[in-house]
Amino acid sequence: MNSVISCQNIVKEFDGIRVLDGVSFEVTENSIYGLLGRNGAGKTTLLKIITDQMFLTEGTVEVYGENPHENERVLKEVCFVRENVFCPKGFKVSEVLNLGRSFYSNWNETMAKQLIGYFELDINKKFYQLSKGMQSTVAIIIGLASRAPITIYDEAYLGLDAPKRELFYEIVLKDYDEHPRTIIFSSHLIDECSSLLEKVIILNKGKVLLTEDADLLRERAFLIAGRKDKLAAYLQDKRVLHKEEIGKVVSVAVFGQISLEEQRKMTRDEIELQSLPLQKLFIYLTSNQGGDYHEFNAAAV
Amino acid sequence: MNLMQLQFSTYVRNFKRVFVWVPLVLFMSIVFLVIRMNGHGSYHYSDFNTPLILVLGFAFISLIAIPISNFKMLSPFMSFGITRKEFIFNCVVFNLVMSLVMSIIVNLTYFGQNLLYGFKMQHLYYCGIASLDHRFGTISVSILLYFGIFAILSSLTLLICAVRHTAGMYYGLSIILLVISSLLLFFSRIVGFIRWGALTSGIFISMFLIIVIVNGLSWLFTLRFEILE
Repeated sequence: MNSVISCQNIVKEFDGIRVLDGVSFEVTENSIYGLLGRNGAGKTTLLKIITDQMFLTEGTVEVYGENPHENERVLKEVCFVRENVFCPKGFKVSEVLNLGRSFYSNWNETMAKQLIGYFELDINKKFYQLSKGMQSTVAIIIGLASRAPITIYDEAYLGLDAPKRELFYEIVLKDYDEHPRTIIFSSHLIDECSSLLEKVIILNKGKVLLTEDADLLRERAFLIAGRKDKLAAYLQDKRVLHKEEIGKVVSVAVFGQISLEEQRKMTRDEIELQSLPLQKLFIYLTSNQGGDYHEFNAAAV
Repeated sequence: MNLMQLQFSTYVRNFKRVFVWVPLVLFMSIVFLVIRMNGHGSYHYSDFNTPLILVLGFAFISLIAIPISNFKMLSPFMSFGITRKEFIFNCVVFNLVMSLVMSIIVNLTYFGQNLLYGFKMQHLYYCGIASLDHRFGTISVSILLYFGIFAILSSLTLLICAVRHTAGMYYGLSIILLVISSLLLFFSRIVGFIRWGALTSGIFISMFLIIVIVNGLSWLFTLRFEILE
């Protein structure tokens, strides 16, 4: 698959403070990515660099093989939907959507109208009279209806209530099936959207912790619980991410392959095996308990 | 809605933001006042043409408001794929168009005022500055003259916005210089040391202009500004 975004050794400093430190990754065409990281990990800064709203201190960024700086052709292909939606004061929702229509050449008016209905949005209201959640709704409508080849949601959907978020994920998936494009979800809340993600980039303290297929992560991250003496044998060739002990019972989050034979053995030894949700994996990887993660390589485990 | 329409729309809706720019308005008013004072440091009501003053004030404030609204309102739209070049080009063109519009409005006010005061027909030929001093020529020259003044004013404000956007320290310094020079000019006129007042005020104004023009232009030409929140 073609690479649409390529970041090589990106460094960004603000007044001598390194916010991004040697970030490198590739984003391939027509995939759904999750850019995951805790608050302050540098997600928004990275996305702003990709969309030419900020400059990098060192490194290179390419979007469709070109430097995005002042590159109208490239920038028009990207729709960057932010959490804090910006809109000129006094503008009505309909006017904000008009702006989206005028900026994006692939704008789909039918879809915009449908989404307005689905999300019960009053387009005659002034934008700043809307609740935070409804403002987020306007932003995601722009993101969806723009049909931009690269659509980035920077925590834009987090202001929505749970049913609307579900609706949003459903619509994204359906639209993606019919009109494949590159979508990046930047978030620190992973559980809800994890089923959508095809690839995951985890950013921690300005560095890329891992870049991996989401399926591979799901297949290799486990939670194993059982008696301490019986469990030890199973942990030898696996990376232990987290450990909890309650009496003689130990619960361990591990990353590694577990064969069918090994699974049968575990059942015999009364060891419980569950797959580890992406959210938990993210928490263990980005918390300080997991040791040195900077060289974490999922494929190699 | 294209960028130009967006600019006009945001300008109309955000007119009140101009009050942030009181120092510049203060400076212009004081300069105007000093110019209109007679030799004894006092002025008479008849020195002022009320409708004209109002329109001029409106024009000045408008032309200060335009670049501010451009900056406030447009820069975040760069997340919609607007390039910096496009953004600056639109700001400059919009400034010039609005300067021309304001210049025509001011001259029409002169024209109307002359009608009101019962000038003879041959005087109506002279409008704007031309009606005050015939050496300035006809209405077209007057429109051009005001257009020049307004274009400089709005461009200067655009540069101040640029400095504010990139180097807050220089922005603060430039505003302080502007306020100091205004006060110097005003008080020197009151106490009668107009020559020294004008000289020192001129020095401060020059420093202000150097800061604003050098920093602002470097901002405009290098296109290296980030969208910070």
